[in-house]
Amino acid sequence: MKYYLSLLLCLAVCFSWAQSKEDALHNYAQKISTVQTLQSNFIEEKHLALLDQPIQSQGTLAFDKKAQKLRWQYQIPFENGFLIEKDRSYRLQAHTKKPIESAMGRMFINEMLVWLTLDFDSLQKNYHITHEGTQITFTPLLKEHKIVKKITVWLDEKDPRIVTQVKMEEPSGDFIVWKFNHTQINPPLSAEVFP
Amino acid sequence: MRNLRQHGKLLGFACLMVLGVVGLCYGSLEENILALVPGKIKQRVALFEHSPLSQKLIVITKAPSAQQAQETAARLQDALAQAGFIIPQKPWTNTSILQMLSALPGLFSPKIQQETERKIAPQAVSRQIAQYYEELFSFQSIFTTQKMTQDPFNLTELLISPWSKLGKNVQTLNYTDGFLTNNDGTLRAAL
Repeated sequence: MKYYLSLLLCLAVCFSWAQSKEDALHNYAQKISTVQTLQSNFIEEKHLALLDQPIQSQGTLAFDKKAQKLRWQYQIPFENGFLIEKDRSYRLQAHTKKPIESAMGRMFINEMLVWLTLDFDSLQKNYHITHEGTQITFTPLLKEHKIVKKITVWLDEKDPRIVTQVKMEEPSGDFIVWKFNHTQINPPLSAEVFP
Repeated sequence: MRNLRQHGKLLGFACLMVLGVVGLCYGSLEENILALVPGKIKQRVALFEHSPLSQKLIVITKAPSAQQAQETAARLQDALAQAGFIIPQKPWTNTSILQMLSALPGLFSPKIQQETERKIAPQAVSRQIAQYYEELFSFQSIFTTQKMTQDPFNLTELLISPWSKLGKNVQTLNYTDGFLTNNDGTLRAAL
């Protein structure tokens, strides 16, 4: 009898622990859903087997949830980037805007909208999501995912609406880290931001 | 008598081995490679140079099963390495064997050869390298890193057309897999 009671107690503790974790994730999702516009600077650091040392690029990011617009602009060392306007995506290069032809490129860019809004409902369809505090880990449900092995997202501890860092690990061992700084939540965005 | 019969068999086998080795030493590389392919799985093997400028070899083979295709690939890779035509970069694994095995029909047409030479002309090469360098600093490298390392001048593109002529059930080029393959793995292509 004591054995069954202990087992029940353990199960209850495990369940409440899992429930609290689920609640925390739900809480983050709710806070992030209040983000309507966003502007941030980013540093992108790539660790590739093909290179002896990591390489770094920098740029800015602007996002308008209602208009479904995203601009990802590299500034250093090269000026280029991409722009999403609803279901259309463009490459920005040398002050020109060209539609992105590659289906894979379009798919990846469109997925960024899901990531920016951290739409857990959509992400749960493709990723196993776990978290430790404000560090959230996404592992593809598809075991042999060709591009992603794991994605880790760090939220700001004081303001979980802000993503401070994202690390994307590839099956090859290569990985990319994006660090975000000077993030503004819900700033007014002028029309010039989205060319 | 029984001993004699057994020794006779052994002697016969040894003679065949010696003849095989002698044949391998004296034959051309193509003949040597063909000789390495077990007769029962050899349906079609061809060898040709990808381009006089690139000095890349493409090996064509087709086997009834993926396993036999791998075995053949291992033998071909061994032969090519021993002949000094390739330098294996890593210890051989299933993956590197797959990477080595190629399956493509026929020789390149003069048109394809011209196109190849255009792609690897000095100006084209420096333009391509500059483009890759810029891509490394953008999100695009997520899709192109593998291509940069495996086929930087997109020579595989030249093979898509002949590859697709192999018939239905042949997948389109997929750099994330690394190489061309049909669905059951009996046909594979690599540069």
